[in-house]
Amino acid sequence: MKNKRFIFRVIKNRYAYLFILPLMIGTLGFCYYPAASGIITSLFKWDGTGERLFIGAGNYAELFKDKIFLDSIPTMMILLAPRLFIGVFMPLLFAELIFNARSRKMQSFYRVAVLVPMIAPGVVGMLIWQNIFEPSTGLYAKLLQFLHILPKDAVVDFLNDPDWVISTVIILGFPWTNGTSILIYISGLNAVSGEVMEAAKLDGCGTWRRIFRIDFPLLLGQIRYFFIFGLIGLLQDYGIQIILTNGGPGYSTYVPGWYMYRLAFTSGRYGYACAIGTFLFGVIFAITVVAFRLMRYGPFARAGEE
Amino acid sequence: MKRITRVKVKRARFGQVFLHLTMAFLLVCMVYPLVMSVWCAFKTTTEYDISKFYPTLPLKLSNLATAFGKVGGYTYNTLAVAVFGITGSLAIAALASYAFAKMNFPGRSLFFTMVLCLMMIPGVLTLVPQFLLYRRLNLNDKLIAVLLPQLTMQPVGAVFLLSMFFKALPKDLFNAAEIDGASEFQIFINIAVPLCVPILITQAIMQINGLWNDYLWPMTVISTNYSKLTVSAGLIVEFRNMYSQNMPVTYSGYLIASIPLLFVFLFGNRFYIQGLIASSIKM
Repeated sequence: MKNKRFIFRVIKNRYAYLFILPLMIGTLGFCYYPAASGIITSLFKWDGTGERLFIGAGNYAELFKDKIFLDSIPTMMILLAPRLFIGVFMPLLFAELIFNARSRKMQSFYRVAVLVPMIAPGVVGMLIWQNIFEPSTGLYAKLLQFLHILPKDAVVDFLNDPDWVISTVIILGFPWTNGTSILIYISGLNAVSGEVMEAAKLDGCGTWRRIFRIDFPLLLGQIRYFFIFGLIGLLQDYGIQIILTNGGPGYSTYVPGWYMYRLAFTSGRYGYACAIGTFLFGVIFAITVVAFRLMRYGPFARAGEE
Repeated sequence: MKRITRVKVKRARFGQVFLHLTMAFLLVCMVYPLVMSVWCAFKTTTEYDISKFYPTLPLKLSNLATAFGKVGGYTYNTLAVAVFGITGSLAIAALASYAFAKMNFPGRSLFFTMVLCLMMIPGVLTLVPQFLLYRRLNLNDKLIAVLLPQLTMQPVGAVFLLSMFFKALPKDLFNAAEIDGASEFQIFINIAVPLCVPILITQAIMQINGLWNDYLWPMTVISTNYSKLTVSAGLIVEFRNMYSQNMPVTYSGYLIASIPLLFVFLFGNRFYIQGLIASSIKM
């Protein structure tokens, strides 16, 4: 009886399967399959063309003795921490500035103005910064000379000098506007009820106090969101390495993701590269699960609501 | 009493002035590199060496023509991928979301969870195996290798948004059509799709932005046949090295690469802002 009803429901909704078919083909064939094959490939020694040689955990054993890989982890942390902080709080600063502007006209002007960098592809932004960092003639060199941080005749190749490259990469993109995040914060601030703001004002709560006591706690959801997704994004980011530094000078800007890219597409060591990919996946997966559990956010929370 | 309020007003006004000054400073810092590259695009190389920090006349328009020779090709590739990729991906996403939201078929939550869990798979894990897969299918160095991920991976994000939207639509709307004898597909095309056009536009804008900015996948999968590169990848891999001695032409190329995005921005920023606000309320 139950079986019959099941079959009846399948037949009645047969179009549903047709509707989701294209999505499921793409999902299984081009998302799940590569993910699984990446984890499997990490157990093999493979140069991409010849025979696959099964070596079990061999790649991982090598990985944890590989000095380039082990050194790339602290480098990643040094690059990640300030950029994560900037990514979370700089948009918040912009949002507070815009939100506190009393003139409505200026407010809506600022809201559109912060989106302006979107019209240039991100790559173009980075390439422009490459020129800003040009030794001695670039804008950055001129500015540092003007501020007497650098002597007048100094020639520093900011992106190719191990002492300078880290700070240079972090400065890149100043003032780190991100229109999307700013707008999300502003709409969060607008959602704080006007009554709360009014009450705070009547009780003599100044702007600063309001920002720390009312705005921050109420924006916690957004802050958490940018923190988690920023962290996940930055753990696997090597855009700067691809576009500007090539991981150099030497190994000073090598991060695990970039090392993986080099191993696969320069050295052709696909198995070993997949081992790094799988390792990063493990780290990111753990962070995501813990974060989602703690925040009741993402697939688990949504699946629970169903 | 009066004096106290005056002091307060004065302090508030000072605060506002300070706020606007800070904002102006930050905006200038943000825009200056972009504007600088606009005027540098029209300089001769000698002019560029002496006066890159401020605009000068006359404009050397031939830079644009020189750069267009290469960047025009990338732009064409990207637009082709965008047209087919975005239409296809929105169609796939809309169909599936409709089924997930409005049809009660066995296995629904299983399939939906499978799609949701894709959020947990980071690009860093799939990049290398995906490249190997495309190479085995003999798709590398062809434009279709950039198009295919648009159809297979991009719909996932749209399915979230759309299925939430469809679920919120009143049931009566659909029941009435069903009683009148409309088929599921007719209901989908004639009732569901017209209602979600604004969301589809938001989604299309995000997707075209993503495609325009993506360099990692195109430069990985198109490693020798450079004429098939899309905009961002083409700029990094080929273009910037071709004219490294002629910065004005390079900047002209950057300018050309940005023009289509400028149009997307002009026509779409209203939808984009609305879409952002709608999705951020749920945070």
